[in-house]
Amino acid sequence: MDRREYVTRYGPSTGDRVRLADSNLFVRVEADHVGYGDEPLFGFGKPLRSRLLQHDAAARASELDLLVTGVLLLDPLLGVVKTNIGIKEGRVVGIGPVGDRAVIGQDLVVGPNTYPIPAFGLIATPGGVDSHVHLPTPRVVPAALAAGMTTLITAGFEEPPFQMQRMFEAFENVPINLGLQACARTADPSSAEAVIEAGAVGLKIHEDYGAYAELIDAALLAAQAHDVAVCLHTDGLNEAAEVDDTLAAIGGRTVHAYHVEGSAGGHLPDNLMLVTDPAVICSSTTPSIPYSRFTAIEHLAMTMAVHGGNPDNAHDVQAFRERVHVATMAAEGPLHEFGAISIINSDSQGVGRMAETIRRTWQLADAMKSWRGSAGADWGVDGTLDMPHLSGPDDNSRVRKYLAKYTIEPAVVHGIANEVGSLMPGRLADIVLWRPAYFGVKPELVLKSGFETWGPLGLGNGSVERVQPTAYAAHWGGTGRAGSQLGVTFTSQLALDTKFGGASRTSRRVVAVQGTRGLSRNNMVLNRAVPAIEIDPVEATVTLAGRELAADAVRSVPLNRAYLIT
Amino acid sequence: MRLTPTEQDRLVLSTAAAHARVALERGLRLSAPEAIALICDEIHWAVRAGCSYEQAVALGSLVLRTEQVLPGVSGLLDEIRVEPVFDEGARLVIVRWPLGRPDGGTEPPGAVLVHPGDVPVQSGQRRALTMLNTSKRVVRVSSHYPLHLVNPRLTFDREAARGFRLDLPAGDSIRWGPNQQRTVQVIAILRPTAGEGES
Repeated sequence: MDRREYVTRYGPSTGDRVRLADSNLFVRVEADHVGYGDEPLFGFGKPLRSRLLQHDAAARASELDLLVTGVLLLDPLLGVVKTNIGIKEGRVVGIGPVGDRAVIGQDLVVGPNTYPIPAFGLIATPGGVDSHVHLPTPRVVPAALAAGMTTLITAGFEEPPFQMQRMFEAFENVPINLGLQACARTADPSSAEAVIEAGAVGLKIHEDYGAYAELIDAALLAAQAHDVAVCLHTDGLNEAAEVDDTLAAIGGRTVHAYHVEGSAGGHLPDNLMLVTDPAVICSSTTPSIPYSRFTAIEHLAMTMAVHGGNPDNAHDVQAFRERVHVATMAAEGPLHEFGAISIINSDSQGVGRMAETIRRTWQLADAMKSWRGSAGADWGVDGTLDMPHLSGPDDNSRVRKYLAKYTIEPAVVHGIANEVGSLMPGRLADIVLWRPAYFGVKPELVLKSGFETWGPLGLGNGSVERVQPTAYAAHWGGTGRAGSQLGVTFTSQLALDTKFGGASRTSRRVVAVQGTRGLSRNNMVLNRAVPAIEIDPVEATVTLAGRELAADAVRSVPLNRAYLIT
Repeated sequence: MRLTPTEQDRLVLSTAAAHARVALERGLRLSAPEAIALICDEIHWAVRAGCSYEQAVALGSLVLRTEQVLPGVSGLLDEIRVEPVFDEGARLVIVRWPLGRPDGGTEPPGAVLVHPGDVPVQSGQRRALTMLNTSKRVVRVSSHYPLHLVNPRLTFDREAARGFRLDLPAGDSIRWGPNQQRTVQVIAILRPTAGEGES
């Protein structure tokens, strides 16, 4: 069959390229597992029926609960492959053709009780893992689900334990995976112990509560004792510590450095020097990427609004203005392109936008492709100069790298990569389906633990689905008690062992984070570069191998106005 | 007013369409959701004013021109489903590609750039089979149906057809009119589990 005809019927196949939304990013299908001739279409006269591709005699133990058919899978571990995704008991169990020839995992046995989700022509990605979320309002949650985020790790401020317990209760029926972190506000170890027992999956150092060396050290000791993460928002005043002092306090122990560029908070002006330490795994928040025309001016307004600044107080205005340094903003994108900054997260309502983590990631990838096409071509893939970057015929490696930034990399750092971050068989079936034209902006369907949970639902009285106006809303997975069986609560092992210090009556699955200590950037999957940048302590100019590292500000981005009512 | 959810959803379209009209008045081009809302709203009003079903479908493609929407938006408008209320009650109206289907020369959002050539032909034993429809009715057989189990009014060498299916792309079918005879290509069923569970 002519390939054009094939694509019309069954979606793209090996060798075809797909443009992601209205970006300049193109993925090339690396392999097709579906099987030419045996495509498992569902419907009138289609093959996925009794006597045909359905295995009527399938044993209950082997048949799938759900089959996502013919989808183009984009996954940080699996690449860009056309495949079927087999799901059982909320987990991905196999990918490959229907029948007994799975490529990875269990065979895809489609029995009489297997529910098909037709996805020919659609793209599947793992649900997003947002590792820097503030939850001052419950309205963050629908914004997250409508954007394709299925795991939220908070950035603290839910402590004390009383408040953490109420938050866990509030999330009881919410179809999202939740991990609460707690701020470490004292060097007294009993305080950290209390929040870890109450369920904290990590400790957050925040300058607004003090980010002194002894607090960092104490948090790391507590984290080491209980296998939880430590997240870091450093001392932006340089009042008690400069960046060298912070690095010394870290002492080669794993930390996740939030908004490492620094303008959203951190050592002035060279917080970004944290990328030179392999024990520090770095992330960016949504408003600073990609660096664009109004990034700097917005940061002044935003940081004052959130950090208790008074715009009528000249002292505050001057202090906040100095926090914003354009030169490091210009270097942030290239450091993502090299993989030196490993993670993108929202910092929702704490200077960042919940629904934009995924969208901003692809806008950055698009901007960095342009940068590579001009100034950025001189540097190699990871920022070294020995092998300049040459653009290839597709963007697969770039797409995987950026996809990893909001899926598998944060999952590794927070000790939940056995559950989320990839659709490699064994993990939760947290799957976001996208039409390629709407990729990264507006999902077609969000499956949480293999159940239809969120999507653009149409008129309730409609004769068919998707009658206008369609609007993002809870599917059945977000209705009634279903969410309690779909969302996982991540906690410390201590909280799991003690049932949250005896305070829990949850019916959700509770999973202890593990493997958060002893990580370095080399444990990242695709973002592990450690370039030896230097930063001018006055001008904040970033140089690498003696050359200034700076991308021009972009003036417009894809995945934006064409998709939105604005 | 006793507004039902359906009426409230109609007002969502009204609001979004009014928003779109403001954009147009200001000389601004529309986004995809704005364009969809405007098209739906115009269809609702035209139907209320008495237009026919066919006119409602056709109207969907007349509401906007490509230069009134943002770049790329026409490629986002593939199918619009709307249920206006005719004098006889609500009917589903589907408008496909209201601003035209993107042609092969452009790369609209989400475009597939097809690799040249053909996909490989499925391997498997093939043979020709002559089949006669003795029924008074049309009979269709789809690609993956096990041939030895098809409607008994189709007469052919069933034993020779055991383990075979029509050699068609998945999901296609062949139509036999009453008393029609066709010689068709058949292919051995690959799937080892297929056809099991038959009586």
